[in-house]
Amino acid sequence: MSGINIMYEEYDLANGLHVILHQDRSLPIVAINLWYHVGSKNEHDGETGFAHLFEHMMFQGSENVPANMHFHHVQSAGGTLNASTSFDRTNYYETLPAHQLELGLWLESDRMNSLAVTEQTLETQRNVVMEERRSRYDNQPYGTMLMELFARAYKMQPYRWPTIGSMADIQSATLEQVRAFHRMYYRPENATLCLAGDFELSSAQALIEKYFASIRNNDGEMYRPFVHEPPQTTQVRDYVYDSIPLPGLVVGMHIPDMNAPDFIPLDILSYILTSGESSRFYRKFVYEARIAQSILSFAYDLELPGLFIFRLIAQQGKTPEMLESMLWKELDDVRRNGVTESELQKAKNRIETMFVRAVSSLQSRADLLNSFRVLAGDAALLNVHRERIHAVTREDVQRAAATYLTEHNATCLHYLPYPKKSSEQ
Amino acid sequence: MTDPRDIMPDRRRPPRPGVPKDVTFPDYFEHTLANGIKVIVYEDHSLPIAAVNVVTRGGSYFDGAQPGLASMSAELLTKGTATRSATDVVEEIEFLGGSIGSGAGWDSMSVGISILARHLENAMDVLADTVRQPSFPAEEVERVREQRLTDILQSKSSPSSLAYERFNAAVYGSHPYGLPQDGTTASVTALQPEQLHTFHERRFVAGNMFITAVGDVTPDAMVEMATRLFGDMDGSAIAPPEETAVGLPATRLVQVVDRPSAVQSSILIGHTGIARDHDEFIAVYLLNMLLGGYFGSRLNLNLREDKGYTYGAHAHFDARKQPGPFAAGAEVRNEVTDRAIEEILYEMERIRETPVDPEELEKVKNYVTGSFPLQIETAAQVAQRIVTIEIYGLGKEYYNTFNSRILALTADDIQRTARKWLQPSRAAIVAAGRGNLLRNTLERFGPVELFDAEGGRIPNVESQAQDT
Repeated sequence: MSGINIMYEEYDLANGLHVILHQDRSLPIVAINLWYHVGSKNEHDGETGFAHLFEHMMFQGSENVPANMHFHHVQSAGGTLNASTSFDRTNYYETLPAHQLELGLWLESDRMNSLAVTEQTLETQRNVVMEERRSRYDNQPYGTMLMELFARAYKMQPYRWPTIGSMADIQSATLEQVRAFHRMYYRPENATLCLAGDFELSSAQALIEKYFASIRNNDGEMYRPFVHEPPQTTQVRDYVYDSIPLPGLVVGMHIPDMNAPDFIPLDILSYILTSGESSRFYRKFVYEARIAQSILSFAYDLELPGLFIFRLIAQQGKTPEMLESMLWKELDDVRRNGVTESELQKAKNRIETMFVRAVSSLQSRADLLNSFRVLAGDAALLNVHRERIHAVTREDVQRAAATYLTEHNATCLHYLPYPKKSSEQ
Repeated sequence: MTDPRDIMPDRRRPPRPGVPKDVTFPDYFEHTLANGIKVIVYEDHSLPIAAVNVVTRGGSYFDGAQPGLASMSAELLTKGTATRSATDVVEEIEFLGGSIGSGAGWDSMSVGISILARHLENAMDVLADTVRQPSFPAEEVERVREQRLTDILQSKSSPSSLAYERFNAAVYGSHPYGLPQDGTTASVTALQPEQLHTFHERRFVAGNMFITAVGDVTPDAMVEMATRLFGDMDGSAIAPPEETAVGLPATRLVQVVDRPSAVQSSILIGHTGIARDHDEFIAVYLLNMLLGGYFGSRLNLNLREDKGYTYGAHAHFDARKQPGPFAAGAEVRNEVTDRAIEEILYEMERIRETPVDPEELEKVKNYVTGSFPLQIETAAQVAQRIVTIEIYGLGKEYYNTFNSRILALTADDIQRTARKWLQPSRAAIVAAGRGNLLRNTLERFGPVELFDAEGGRIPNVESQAQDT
């Protein structure tokens, strides 16, 4: 292990806002990273895509910052900024020259404290989000693979709809819903603020107190779905037509949530199988058998039980059936014979190197600290997590494969090119 | 009683900034080996990781009649050497947790590794092997060929790939920039291992190469390794090619790539741009930033934040050894394609006709100069800029004078630059989307030429019928 420990201080304000401060004075830069513990899983059926649409509305004005001025202030100060929404959380972040820290805190606190949106800005952002859905999913070859998989793998859990939402739901979102969502979830006790970079601890603490301490929590219980799927006993299968030149295969198996003991061995297994050109499945599917153009797998790290996902695109002349039968044959080998010591060590080495690369940027360090705090309950787990990876054995990996990567636990989707039509005039 | 002002912050106006600290582009070590290979080292010991790149000047521009030659030759470098098979190369590096990659740009080819510093010495042996004695095994060439042909097939269903390929062809014709770097189905099918091998031998010669090392490395160790592993190479520098000028068309071109199932159009509007080492590059850079280079740009505020036509609108001058393309674009829903094109042309026109107002100029200058420290945060970012300095001969002081040159630009400069470098009336307008819709709605910008995904022309049946 490289022995890197990310050092930080943390505390709560009286209103419940959790604060994490990670000092690094090597360059005069500060990363501000603010997580709200709300994502698309807090939505209800029929209101899908709302958490993400709301994220757009957070740039459309608060009491003292008119629409679009948030971007204006940050960029005029030489900063960069963005936000993102996932199933489980929404994050907002800016990286600023260190002497502009107060500006960033002023901006984030103003939109936590208040929202000043209009019918017109909502209408524009509805359109922008619908274009986002087209650009990233609907008009993108294979762009819908994951949402189609999740829609079939889950019957109950709120991961069954995509974060981007359905066009109809995006269209029908109202201003009153936007305001209610802010009141419900954008409160200090549901947020974690992490600063990483060049600041004096005491002055950063004083500024955070100044801008955030007076923000009050609203009443009302936050909706936190805690739905678990019943165990899947028979395989789910389907096919989807898309504007694609080559067929594909996407398979998802139910796995435990990201904090369960079995998650880390599954995560390591995905590295062994498909990370890098020397990985087992890349070599077998792409390099040797040459039946796949690409293969990837990952253990989706989610608060509620997630999926272990394989995604393959066929080589020319190959079919999803061929991909699938080889996948089951190879998985059977992993379940029966496990992985080699060398494969396990290589995966650990790769994870370690990727961690070192990830923490080379302040913003990514801040995001990791927040991620462990919000989704795993404790920022300290960021450093512990790597010891846990180190401790995983071949037996752990084989047992996890045998338990979860099974036929009856899987949802299999074949992606097929639209049948050739006779020429239309 | 406590005065409420003591607990309630004044939120009404933005706080005053503190005092900025000076940031300069970091100094780096340079040493030229006896054979002409330059070794550049930027030390950053904050993390135990290092990245080394072996770079040679000149890339896909030299493909000649065989698009894909440089990129395929580069890709094969890691796929087998005189002493290691393709699987040996990748296994050795990946087992150590590192990664190895090779590729070609328009103006360079390179092989690079990124790895924990304690494994660097071992990895350097593999790196040198791939640079010095790649064997281009027939079996590996076939694998790469098959992958590439499939990638090309895949690109025919990607709206942005279709738009860029058509755009480059429309702007550059038979100039090398008009052809795809990854090659065409015909050229990739035809390329032979010997050609890839010969291309590598000609390009990777000592006088044409430099090595960058960044991160947890020292100059002494790097010079020692470079001398040992590359010091006996020879060959003198290769003269760059003569510039082949590509003019602008006399009038607009309007070209549509038919993608019958599209729910959006991918729009690109532009023409030839500027060379990277041109004196006016910095003015063009600021001009482009204003027009479509960042979130607060005119195109994005107009097409996204005002009209809601798109998830994002952008503009970019791709500056290379020779004038690369300028393109402004967006992905927009089918019905608003013509209106989006109108707005893009309007913004190109407006920035030529009306001086930028002081506040907007101030804002964009602040953004460019203020974000400078963010651009050199990681060793990888610094490395990328050093490579740019080397390839385009910009000089070691380039990034330290960049900000003052930006700050010196006036509204007049921007307008003069816009008039010279933006030509909306002679631009190629390209959209990949629904042909049967677009060939009617785009008529008002000029005669519409329709193409299929393979680049073939589709005859305009309707207008032919009208003619007769």
